[in-house]
Amino acid sequence: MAFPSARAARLGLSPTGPLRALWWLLQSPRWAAVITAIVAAMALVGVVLPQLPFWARGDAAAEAAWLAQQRERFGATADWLWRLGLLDVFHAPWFAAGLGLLVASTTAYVVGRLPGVWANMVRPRLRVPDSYFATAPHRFASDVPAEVAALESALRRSLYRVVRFREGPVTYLFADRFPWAQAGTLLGHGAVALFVVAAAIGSADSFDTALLIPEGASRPVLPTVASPRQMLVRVEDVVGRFDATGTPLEYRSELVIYRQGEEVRRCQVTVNSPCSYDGYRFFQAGYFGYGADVQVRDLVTGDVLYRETLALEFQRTAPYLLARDASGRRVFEGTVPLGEPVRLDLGQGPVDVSFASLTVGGRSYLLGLWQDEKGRPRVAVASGQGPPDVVIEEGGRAQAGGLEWEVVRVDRVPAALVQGFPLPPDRGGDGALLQMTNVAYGTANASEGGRVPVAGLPGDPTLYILGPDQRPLALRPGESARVDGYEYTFLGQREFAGIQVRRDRSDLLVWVAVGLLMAGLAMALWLPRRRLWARIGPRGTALAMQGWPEVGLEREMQRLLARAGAPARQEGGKDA
Amino acid sequence: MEQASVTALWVALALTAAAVLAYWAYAFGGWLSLRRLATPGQGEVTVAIWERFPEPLGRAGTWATWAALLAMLVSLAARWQASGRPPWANMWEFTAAFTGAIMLFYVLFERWYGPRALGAVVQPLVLALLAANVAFFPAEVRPLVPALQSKGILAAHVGVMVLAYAALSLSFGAAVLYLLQGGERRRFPRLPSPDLLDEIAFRSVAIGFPLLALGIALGAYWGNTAWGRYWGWDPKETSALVTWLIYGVYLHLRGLRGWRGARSAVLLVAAYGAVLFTYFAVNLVVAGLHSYAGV
Repeated sequence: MAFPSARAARLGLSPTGPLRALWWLLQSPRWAAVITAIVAAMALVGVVLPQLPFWARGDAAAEAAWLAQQRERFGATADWLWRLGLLDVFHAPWFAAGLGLLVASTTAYVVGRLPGVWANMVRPRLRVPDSYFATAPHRFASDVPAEVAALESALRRSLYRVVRFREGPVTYLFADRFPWAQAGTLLGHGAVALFVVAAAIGSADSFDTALLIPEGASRPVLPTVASPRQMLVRVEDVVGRFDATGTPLEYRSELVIYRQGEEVRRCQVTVNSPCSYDGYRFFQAGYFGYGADVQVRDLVTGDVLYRETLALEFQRTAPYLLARDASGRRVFEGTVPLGEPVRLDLGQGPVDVSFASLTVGGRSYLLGLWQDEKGRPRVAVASGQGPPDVVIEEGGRAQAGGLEWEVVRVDRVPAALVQGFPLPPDRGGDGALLQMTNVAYGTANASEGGRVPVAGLPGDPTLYILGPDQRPLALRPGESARVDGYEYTFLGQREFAGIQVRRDRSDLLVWVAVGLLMAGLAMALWLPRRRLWARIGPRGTALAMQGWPEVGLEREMQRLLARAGAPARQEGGKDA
Repeated sequence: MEQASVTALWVALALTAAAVLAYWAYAFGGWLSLRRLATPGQGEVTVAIWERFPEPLGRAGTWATWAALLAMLVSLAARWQASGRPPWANMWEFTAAFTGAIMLFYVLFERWYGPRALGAVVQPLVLALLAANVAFFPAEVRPLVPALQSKGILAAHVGVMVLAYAALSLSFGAAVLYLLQGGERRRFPRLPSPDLLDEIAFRSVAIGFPLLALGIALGAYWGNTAWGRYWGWDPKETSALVTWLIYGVYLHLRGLRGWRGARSAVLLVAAYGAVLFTYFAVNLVVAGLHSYAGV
């Protein structure tokens, strides 16, 4: 599009300066196509290559762990991809630059075209030179003078606004249909720019926090605890429901929101139904079923030293064992949680071995689990102080200490290493390892949902606490164990709700942009503007037409001429 | 009803196969016979019936397509009845709906524009999609995961995407036919004129492009309802945006740079590659928030 020198002067741009060249470039359709293609290609890279997940962004350890996974997949190339930003495309500066150029181009297009389009809409050209009827790209002619009234009537029936004027024996018509539709492309392009403005406002102004809250607990929403706008969100109940294959069927949480001690909102959230209060929205963003409600009490003072619902968010391997005596009677069956691994050399290089002691029929056994060089689990059983009696592979059986041991499978059980967990004063260490067996997402105990066996036998979950005593404390819900003046109680399995709290004040802009985009596209593509000029004289009729998209123009002129009683003779265009 | 939907899909597949044969015979048969007749030194040339009577075969192709469309509608209705939700919540259902929508747009365009030869490209595409569906995607009705449990927006977002992709499939068919036709060289007399093919391609993009924009916007609305954000650069949404941008480039080049004919046809074929990538590859290969909609 030519750059009007008057506007250039108003903008203070010299006719040949670099700003004018930039302005031209930004308005160039070819440039727009190129920059759009580049942005599309960059985005495609982000689709094809794995991208840094949101939960790892900003967490150096999580980023490093994720990058290590990519190194396993891509080898040394992963580091190059990372340095180039190709593993985090949508947060790379060059991607932002590409988007910025696209928006600049779109904005320049809208600004540059607006005056011309406006003038064309409100003051369309009513009369074209007669020579135009012989040179217009889309034209039709007839040797027969059309019936003016019939042509005008046909045009009006086709929703054209018609202006007629005479010059001597010649009648001229100007017909215009959907003149406002010419603004459609501007609306569409403006909407694209508005989307980016909304995104910028959203990212600059939005509030976003993730809370993992167990049933029965509350958490503050805002980072400033003493803020007068502070809210407290309490999770009354969490429900996870699964089918027999473990596919989730429902996540649901009952929330209560408090402000300044007053209950201000009580609601239920599901994945597609957030709860709103004061511009903040509370989303059911996650569900976690492996929580343990634990209490530690000082038996001397009676004080509760510790009460937490702990998320057992890691997994540890644990063998599921079956032991039979000489008569074939089962004397033990269950998952055996193991302690922290110890690095040992078993003859084929160092391996991490996890141990557990187990008492069966009054006799103690030491169990060890490690992975061999092919990654297969191996379980050793020792009935005495010396080397193991047997080493059993998964699914295998062997005799040890008068029993037949079977390694039914090797499970992964939920676990957490809890720092600051109260231990009896004479015990060393700074924490405890908690593991839970016989648990499932959505157990009858913890939720209203159906049961999905993950590990262990039917029945209550069992919490193993390693640390307070020489042996693990094995507790079922409601059970307590006393160790050196402390009482450890497992109050039960609990579920956690992952609640995402967001406030985004760009909502209105987003939907205005969507409305503009859809209106613009509909106007430009479905209700396009058409302008027709007709010259009807004693020697015949000539029509010329303009419109975008340039499809069907000749067909329309032919139809109009036919209705006006003038057989058509095509002179321009292609689609007759 | 679940079995009825599967059976109806097999019927649609068989009818589509019949339509493909009829359309091919219609579009290319006459030309083949002329070529054989024009070949010197062949003596007496036997011309098969299907080569001599293309017009009835074209009509047969149209009837078979209508019948296949009817069977597909029955399949989708039975599926809806069996699952109690819109029948496009997994790949089997989406593909069924997608092929049904392609046929729907095709028969409408055939009625508007007349030429049947477009079916010689569009119906093989439908046949290939249906064959892939029965071969690779499990047909049983599965319960919806929580993220998909919103019937209204599921119907709107996925339904609009189905329609958008289906409309764009016609632009692919017209573009392929344009390239087969060799532009103004008009290799095949049975095929529509290059200008008409160019117009059909544009018209189908003019339908599909806004629908794709609407589908993406509805997806953003759903994302905001379910996860609290309109846009998260999830592979599926990004891929859909890239597809939209490619068609946007086509419209710009056509409207402002005057791209017509072979150049825009090649661009449309490439753009349809992006549609299929978004539709298949992102669900099946790339992990993302839409992975639950895979097989």
